[in-house]
Amino acid sequence: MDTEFIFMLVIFSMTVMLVMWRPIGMNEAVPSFISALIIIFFGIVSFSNVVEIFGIVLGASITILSTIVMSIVLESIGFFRWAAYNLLNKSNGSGRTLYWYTNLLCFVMTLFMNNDGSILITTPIIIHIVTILKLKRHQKVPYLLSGAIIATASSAPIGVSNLANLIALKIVGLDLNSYAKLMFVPSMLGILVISLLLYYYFKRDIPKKITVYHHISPPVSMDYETKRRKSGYTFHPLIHAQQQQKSIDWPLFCTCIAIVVLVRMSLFIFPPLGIPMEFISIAGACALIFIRWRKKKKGIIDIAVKTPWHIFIFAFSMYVIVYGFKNIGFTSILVNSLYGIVSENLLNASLSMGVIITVMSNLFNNLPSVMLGTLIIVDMGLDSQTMQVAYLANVIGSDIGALLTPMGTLATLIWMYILRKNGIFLSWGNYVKTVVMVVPIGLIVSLLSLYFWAQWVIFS
Amino acid sequence: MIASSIFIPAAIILYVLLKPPSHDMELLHSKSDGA
Repeated sequence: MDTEFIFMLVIFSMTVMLVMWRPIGMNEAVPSFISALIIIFFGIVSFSNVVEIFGIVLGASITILSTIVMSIVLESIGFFRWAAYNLLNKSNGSGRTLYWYTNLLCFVMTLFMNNDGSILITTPIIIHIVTILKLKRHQKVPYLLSGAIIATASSAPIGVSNLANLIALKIVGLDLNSYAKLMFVPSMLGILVISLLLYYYFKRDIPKKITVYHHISPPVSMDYETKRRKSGYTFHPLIHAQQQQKSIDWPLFCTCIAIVVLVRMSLFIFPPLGIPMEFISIAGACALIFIRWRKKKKGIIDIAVKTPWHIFIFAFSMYVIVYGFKNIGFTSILVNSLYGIVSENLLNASLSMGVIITVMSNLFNNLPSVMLGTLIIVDMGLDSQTMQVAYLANVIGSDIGALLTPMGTLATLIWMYILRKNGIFLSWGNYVKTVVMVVPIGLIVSLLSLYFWAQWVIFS
Repeated sequence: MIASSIFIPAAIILYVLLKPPSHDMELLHSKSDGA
């Protein structure tokens, strides 16, 4: 047990370090896959375990990958240029209105996509906005930081906005509807508290009035654009300049958004009727690709290149590593030490699991933490209500509590990387100094709300 | 029921955020009319 534990600890620490550090631009799937292979090779995780893990991770990964494909199609039709242009226009020169609009966009994007996708989409939009407004560094931070925090925390209200949540759903016997019924209100309260606290924290730094120094090209068509004004501005940092000159079709845009909304709703409606979630997501992604092909005659090469296919390997490998901890009996130790507290009542279940997963996530990232937390909860043999509340607290810890350090979530690490690439330097110290004022309060509000809300839903 | 109570308001928010200003809308319509 001791040798196995030390072996697993070394493998796990090395994997987490390499995933965070990413030497020579290494993909996060590489170290995790190698570690998983080593664990399987030494027989800590058996072949039957691997088959089981494959089944659990596959559907969730396909669902998330299909969502990412949808966002790539939206990007290619100019969705994000459109969003940036409109947010600035609608703010009517008010920095505070712009602040709330950017937060709202980040929230909605996570609701319709997923946390990592939302960060990848909204961060360049916000960077672009604060750049054209020529804001000073301290004025940029409120928009960027609150956007990232809201985009990541917003993956808690519905189960389909986060890969880890989706994987764990199956294990605890919840579906998307029962998840949303129990989780939407408590996590929304937490997000609301966080956004208000961030606003008051940054109030002095958010400019009251904003002036657009550059002309901003509306993302419509080149004909219209030439008539209106000539602008050499590159709009979306992720979009190639040549791509930006292509015209945008408003009806196409509306159709694509309608499909995204319908697919999202279908994920809740059809799985209870026996249609797997991943089938619906694939159908939605195919519909968007087909419509784009009909209208723009554009194939699927850009999608094949841009889609992060490695997500499946990464999630699968991390789960194998976590399963290794279960097989060597490490989770049993945690189960024995936590059972007394968690099983006592729903309040204890909510607070203890939420805080434990927060600590674990900030030490070694939320994906393995939520997986480990879920295995612990299942092994405790709790009654179904306590198990589900403990699991939801687990999710709150991994989606909201994990925001305390950039290490906590992959989304925050991606965000910091995009900032650095765009010449905006925010140290880990500055990040923590701000979030420590808002995230713990948001976390406790969410966990307490979960307790009261779950009691009301379950016992009413 | 749950899906519609979450996503319909969210879709409205998205529409409001993304709806082009009226002058751009007019130009878009005139362009599609061949103007």
